Amino acid sequence: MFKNHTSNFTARRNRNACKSYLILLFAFTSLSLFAQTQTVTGVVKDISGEPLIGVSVLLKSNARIGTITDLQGKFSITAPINSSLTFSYLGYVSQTIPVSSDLIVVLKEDNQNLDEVVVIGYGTVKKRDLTGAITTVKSDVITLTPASNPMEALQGRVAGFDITKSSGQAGAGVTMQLRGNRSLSASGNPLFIIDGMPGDYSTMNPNDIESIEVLKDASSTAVYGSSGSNGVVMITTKKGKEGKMNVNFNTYMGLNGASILPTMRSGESYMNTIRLARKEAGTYIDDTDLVDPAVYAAYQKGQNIDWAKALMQTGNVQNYSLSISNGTKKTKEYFSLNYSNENGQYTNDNYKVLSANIRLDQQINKLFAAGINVQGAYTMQNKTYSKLYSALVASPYGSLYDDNGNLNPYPVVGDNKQVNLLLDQNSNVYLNNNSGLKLYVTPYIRLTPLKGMTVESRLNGTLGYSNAHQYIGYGSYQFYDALGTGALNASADLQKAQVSATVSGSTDYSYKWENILTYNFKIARDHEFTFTGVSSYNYNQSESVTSGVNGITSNIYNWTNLAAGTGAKTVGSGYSMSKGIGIIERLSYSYLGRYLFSASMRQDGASKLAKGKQWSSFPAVSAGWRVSDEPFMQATKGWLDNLKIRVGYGVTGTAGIDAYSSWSTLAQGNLTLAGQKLTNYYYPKTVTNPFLTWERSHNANVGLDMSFLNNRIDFTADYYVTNTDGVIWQQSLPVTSGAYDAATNYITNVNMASTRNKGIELALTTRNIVSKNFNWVSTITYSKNKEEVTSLGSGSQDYVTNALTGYTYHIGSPVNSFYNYKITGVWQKGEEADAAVFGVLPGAIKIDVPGLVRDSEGQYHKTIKGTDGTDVTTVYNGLNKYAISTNDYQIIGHNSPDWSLGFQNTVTYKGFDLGVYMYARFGQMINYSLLSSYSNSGTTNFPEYFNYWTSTNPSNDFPALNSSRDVKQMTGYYALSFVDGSFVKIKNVTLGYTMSHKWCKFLHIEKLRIYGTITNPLIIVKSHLIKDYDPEMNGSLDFPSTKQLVFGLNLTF
Amino acid sequence: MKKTFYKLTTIICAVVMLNSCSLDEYNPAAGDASLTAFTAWSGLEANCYSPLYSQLFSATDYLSVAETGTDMWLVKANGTSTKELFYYESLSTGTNATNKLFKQCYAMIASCNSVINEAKNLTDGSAADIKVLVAEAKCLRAYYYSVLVTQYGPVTLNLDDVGKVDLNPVRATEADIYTQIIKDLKEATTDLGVTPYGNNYARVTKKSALGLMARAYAQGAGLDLTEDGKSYWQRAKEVAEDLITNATADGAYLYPDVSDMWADANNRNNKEALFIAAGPQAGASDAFTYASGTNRLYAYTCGNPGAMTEFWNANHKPSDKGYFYGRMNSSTYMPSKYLMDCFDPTWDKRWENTFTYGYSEWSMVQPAWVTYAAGTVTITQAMISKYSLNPSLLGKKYYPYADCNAVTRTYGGNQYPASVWPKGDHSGNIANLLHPKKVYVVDYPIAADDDRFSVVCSKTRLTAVQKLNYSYFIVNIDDLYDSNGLPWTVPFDQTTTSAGTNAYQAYPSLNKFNWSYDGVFNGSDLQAKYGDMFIMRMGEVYLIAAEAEQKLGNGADAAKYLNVLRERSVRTGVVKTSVDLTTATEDDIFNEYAREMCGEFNRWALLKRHKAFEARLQKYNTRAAQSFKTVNYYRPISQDFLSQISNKEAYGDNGYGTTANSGLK
Repeated sequence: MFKNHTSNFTARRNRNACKSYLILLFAFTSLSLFAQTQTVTGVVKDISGEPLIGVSVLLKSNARIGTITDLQGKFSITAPINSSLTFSYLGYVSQTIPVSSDLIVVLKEDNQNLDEVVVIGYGTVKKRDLTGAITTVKSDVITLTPASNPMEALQGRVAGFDITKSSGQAGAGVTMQLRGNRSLSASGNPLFIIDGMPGDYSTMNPNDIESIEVLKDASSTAVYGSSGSNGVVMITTKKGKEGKMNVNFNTYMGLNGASILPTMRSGESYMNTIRLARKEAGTYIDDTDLVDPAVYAAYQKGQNIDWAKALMQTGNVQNYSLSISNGTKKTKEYFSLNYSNENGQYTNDNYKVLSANIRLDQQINKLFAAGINVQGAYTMQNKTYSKLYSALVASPYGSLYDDNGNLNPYPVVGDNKQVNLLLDQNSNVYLNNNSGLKLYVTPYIRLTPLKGMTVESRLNGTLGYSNAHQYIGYGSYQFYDALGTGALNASADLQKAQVSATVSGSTDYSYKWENILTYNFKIARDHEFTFTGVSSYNYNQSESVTSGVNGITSNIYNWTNLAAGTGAKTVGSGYSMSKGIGIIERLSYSYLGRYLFSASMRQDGASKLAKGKQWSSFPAVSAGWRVSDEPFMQATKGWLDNLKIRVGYGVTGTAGIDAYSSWSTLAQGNLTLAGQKLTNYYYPKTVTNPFLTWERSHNANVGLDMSFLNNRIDFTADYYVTNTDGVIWQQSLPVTSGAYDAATNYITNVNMASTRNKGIELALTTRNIVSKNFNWVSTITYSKNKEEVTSLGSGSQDYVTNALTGYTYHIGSPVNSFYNYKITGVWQKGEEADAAVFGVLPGAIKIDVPGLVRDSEGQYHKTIKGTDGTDVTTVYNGLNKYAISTNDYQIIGHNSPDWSLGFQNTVTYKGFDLGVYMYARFGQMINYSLLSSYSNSGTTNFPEYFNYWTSTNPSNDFPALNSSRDVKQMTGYYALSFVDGSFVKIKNVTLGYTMSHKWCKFLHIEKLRIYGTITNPLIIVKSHLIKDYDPEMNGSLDFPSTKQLVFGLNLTF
Repeated sequence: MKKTFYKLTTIICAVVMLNSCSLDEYNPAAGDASLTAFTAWSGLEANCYSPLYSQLFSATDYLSVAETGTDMWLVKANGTSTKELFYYESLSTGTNATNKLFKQCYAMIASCNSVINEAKNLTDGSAADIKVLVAEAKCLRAYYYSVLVTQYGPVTLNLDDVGKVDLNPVRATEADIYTQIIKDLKEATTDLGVTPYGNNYARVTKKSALGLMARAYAQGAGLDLTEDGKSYWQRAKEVAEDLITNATADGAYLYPDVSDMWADANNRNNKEALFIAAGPQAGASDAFTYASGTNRLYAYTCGNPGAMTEFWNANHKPSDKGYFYGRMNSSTYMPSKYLMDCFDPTWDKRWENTFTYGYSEWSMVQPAWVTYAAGTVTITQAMISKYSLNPSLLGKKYYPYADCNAVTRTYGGNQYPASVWPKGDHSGNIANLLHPKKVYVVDYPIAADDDRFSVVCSKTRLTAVQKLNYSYFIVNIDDLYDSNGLPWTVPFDQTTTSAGTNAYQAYPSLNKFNWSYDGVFNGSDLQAKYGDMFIMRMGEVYLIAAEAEQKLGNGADAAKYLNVLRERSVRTGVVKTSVDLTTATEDDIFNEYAREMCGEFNRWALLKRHKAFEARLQKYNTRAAQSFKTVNYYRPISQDFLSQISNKEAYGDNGYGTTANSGLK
């Protein structure tokens, strides 16, 4: 302490000395103003010799005197003799040059980003000192893609971070997975930290974001311990800057629609297929019973419906955001407001966000600083009931509207099977909306007791309210569907019974308190240390309530008057809480900035785990070597700007455990026996496992950072291996020991499996053309990941299927594997004898059976090995048929991509900028349900392009069109929907124009850019079974991805 | 420097101490129930009943395991629906119904064990109540084990509480399992009362335990088991006879008229039932909400007359929103020719009390949904030509047979109880409506001029000329089967000049699972109805008695029991004793079981204990005979279960080829 006092004293003395010197200097320069002057002229150019316009030329000794270069890059300034001029220009390295006549100044581009500060867990570090695998995305990239959700902009831009958007619904989020799946049941979402604390990224205004750091390797994320396995996304928001007040206004608006949709059978083609199906079956009598007579009449009258067209429209998006930032030396403020409104392709499908961000930082005195950050968002969403899938497979005949333009409840009068899917578009009869308020308040106080030491205490309070309402009223789709024929003249009582309203709400309340001590000090000048110590405590609580009633008497009430319900009422409520503690220590060491080393340890305690298992440790170490700084690399200085090798190792955890996982008690409910309501008791579904602990990921990472040719080429490569053990699996317990109910096994959470992810990540940025007016920059990110289940725990089976996700785990296969029948085609004519072995005829689905060997036509054999090593061989033929069953499932694919690639090209010419972004994702299999909705009788509608088998068309795509051969009874029909989902797409093209400085100055604004962006203009898919569909949707169909056409404006005052 | 670190550490520790409130959880919603309290213990006991209706007796899965793959049932249009069970084609460990049944039966056994084993630790509750509830649990455990041992043979006999998890379960012998079943049932018989606990008819009573015991002895007899030197057949006979003799004392009953057995009014709390799987009851009570199981068995076991669309008005086709029949669109189970041939409707009322053979239009005049006129179909020339009807019918009408009401209930939704229009009354006046015991039971025979019926399946084969005497379209039941006794896959009436009709789909519909009364409907889900199902009824006890007597060589005594069932089925105008048997052969036993019990979840077990699959399938279900193998006497062990244990290979799958070892001795 004493020593520190001394050094403090020294510093103060130095400062005083400094002050005196400054006064002297000021006096001198003031004097010099009266000294002899001369007019200095010159020109400022860039390396290519192009003149630079608007370069500020300031007198070094007095920054109040200056000018800027004109359109020819020329300047003229009156300066004292022997003085110096400073030339500065955004994006270029500033230069100071002594005055002389006819100066020719060449400014070099500033690509020297090694001094940039990168945000890491509980601190920051200069990019040059970084030892972990961290990718930074700056605000310009984040706002490049107009989207209400900032994570959309990161797709393909962070190598190893797989982001997909599977739904075009208004307000739909994205699916994220960093460096492959490690966990079987826990979510793959990374941990989001906004300005050091929890927050909601999805409602954040992308314009408020300064940078996003993605922490990928465990040496970076281990400080987040039990929640760090999926990576950490650190969002830093903008804060006020010292100097001029800055006002930013950003807006965009555009159209949201034009989804590509498969062409479905309609008119004659729909009926012909049904007819053909009957003919193939030999049961075609006449047209009378092909379809319902009323439907047939509609067909004869030529009443066709294009359901998809009727249901979908072009939506629109609009966004307005305004931010004001200001700052003095002591006070910095940032304030923003954002409004975003997205209307989807369905009527009453929309999403609005109103958000605000306030950030205030105040230096109180030398010792204390304090501040507060408030993020608030209100969201409103209306959801539709009408779904595209139902529309596509619906019968295409009838009239949607009657003669008066009102919707027909049934498009075919007299056929009540097909209810008009448009009914629920009327918000008087159907409502499904939710709204939510989220508020994050983060005050902090920071103490700087010594030079290099800060102690910060910060608190985050999160409050979330959400409400959901649903009303199904008179005249809704559900109303007509439930009542059928009677709906048109049912009694009031009967109608009432179909009408229902539900209201539910939840309150989430949590807080987190963290204390961070950082101490940066040097020993013997060349040895720099940074110590960080953190304590973290969190408490989370959520409450929910729900109520509903049937028999609302009027549509006017909708959900607002539950007491008006005359029918059955339901009520419910719930409560849940959990808490956790974390203690972190980290020490970083740097020798000459050339040899870097860091080690950290986090101890995590969690209430969710059983006593004795609540605490766990997560260590990490990493090192970096800036090879290019070595003396022996001196010779390479001419072309090699930077070469750094990083290695790191760390342990992180995954939080796949629910609150109360260690709680065990009898649960109470009701059971009715013969009309008598009894109180029943039963054991909870989850059997407590007192040994349960976190999943732990052990990650090793080797990285290489290089830049060449005056930073024209920038390259980063990482190779990693993550071994995760103790992967939690909800094991179903054998029913011989009892079950939760007759359909549900008891389950228990066990640390059962291990997984491994190995991958490589490359990022390459090249500045292909750099000139005054024309610039071309390309960025490629490539990631390849191989995920694998390495063990499934002793005693478990070879294939473990997750009932919730449908994925199957098998040693040696990727985590999210599809385990199903492997369809190899359709049995063809001429293969009757082989088909007979499986008890089927040509036209049936042909399935590959593992282990089954074909001996000769009509004969196969299979050998099974018993536990005692004996082989049992069985011969199968037309008499002893082989029963294909779910035992013959095999791993047919996996849902994670083998590799993905993002390719951004940005070209600027004078004020114009053009960005083209391509994205490719390969190797993933998707479950595209439209394929298995293929109907053998043709009655369920399917796309025109389906190439089905008939007695004259030997297709291998879809089995027999034959009304007597129910495809749903064919073994393996549901595997028809598994298909290769590889694709390449142009994700977006942006064309912008930035107004020249001259005009800006004239208009008294700082910057104005207008732009237009088109999203998803081109998609190329690999499989011929997919047509007119964007596989990024991962098999879902109801909310197709849209082509967005957006125009926007960025304005800075 | 060291000092600094020391200080820093102290600061951090202080902060942490401040923070480190305990890591305890607070979970008020979980309550504090413990098995030593009578309330919780008896609540666990009640829960042991939960699978009966919700899983076993309302879904087609168990029905297909218990009834198909026998001489009685085929698949409509010789289709591939559940061919695994109907025809033993591709039957494997992964077959859904057998896979699920294994779980359904085992699910509550550990809970029964906890109830039985923990009774001694109760701190409250009356001794009398405890005794009865323990006996109930024993009876239920015996029932679940009896289904398991019947279908899967030697499986695991677990008598441990919930919570004792064995990942390496072992098999017990069938003899050991039967011994345990009999032991449980004997103890239950002693402790159970004649009136159910809490007066709740869904709870088992003494007669339930006795009935199940007779059935268990009979089934075990198929394995040649003995008890104290007596054969199980002998024991089956004794228990059945005892129950018949002491019926009154035991609270057991046999309706003297078979039509009362199936009357809608007797569906709830049926007197002949020994053990009831009680369905949810729509009405004013929220008790409805806590009962589960949507019974769609009717929809699976009906014919598809709606395929002949001309006979129905567009708005109320039987295959669609069929308010009268229910939604007849699943049509899977088709009765075999053997089953049809079993019935002689000239004397046996069980024909119409088992099968609806005449189909009709219907109206909804009462709630004014479908007017009388809208329920009427005018006969066109096209219909006469296509269906070869008498040309004089041109312009005449088919009138509605039934009229459905529509009333709404707070819990369970809309109810559509039907009444019947009198023959010849075309007034549409609801005051004239008739209320038969069961609307789906159509009196035999249907008069030739009965204009309420449009499609009728005829037991007697009629020629084309004879058919012209009837106002309705006639489907000869014999025509429904090809020369191999298999259902037609294409119209059987195709000739070179005509393409034929859909008559091949219009077979008689099993009506044991179809009811039409207030409280039985599932709102607008017309595929499902909520009637009570009978796990066992007194009629079966007579059959077991007869079966055991026949097996023991007493054909005449066997006949006596069969005659009781035959005589109560005799149609008015036929002398009861004229249908009596003097002696009974094994075939007589099979036939009487078919007539009395078809659809009642017992045929497969019956053929199994008589080792009769090979012989009877060859005769009556030729398609199943092609695939049936000896291994099929045991159902495949559940694949789900095999995938959850650590000793799959040692346990074996009963010989279905997924494990090298079958697991059977």
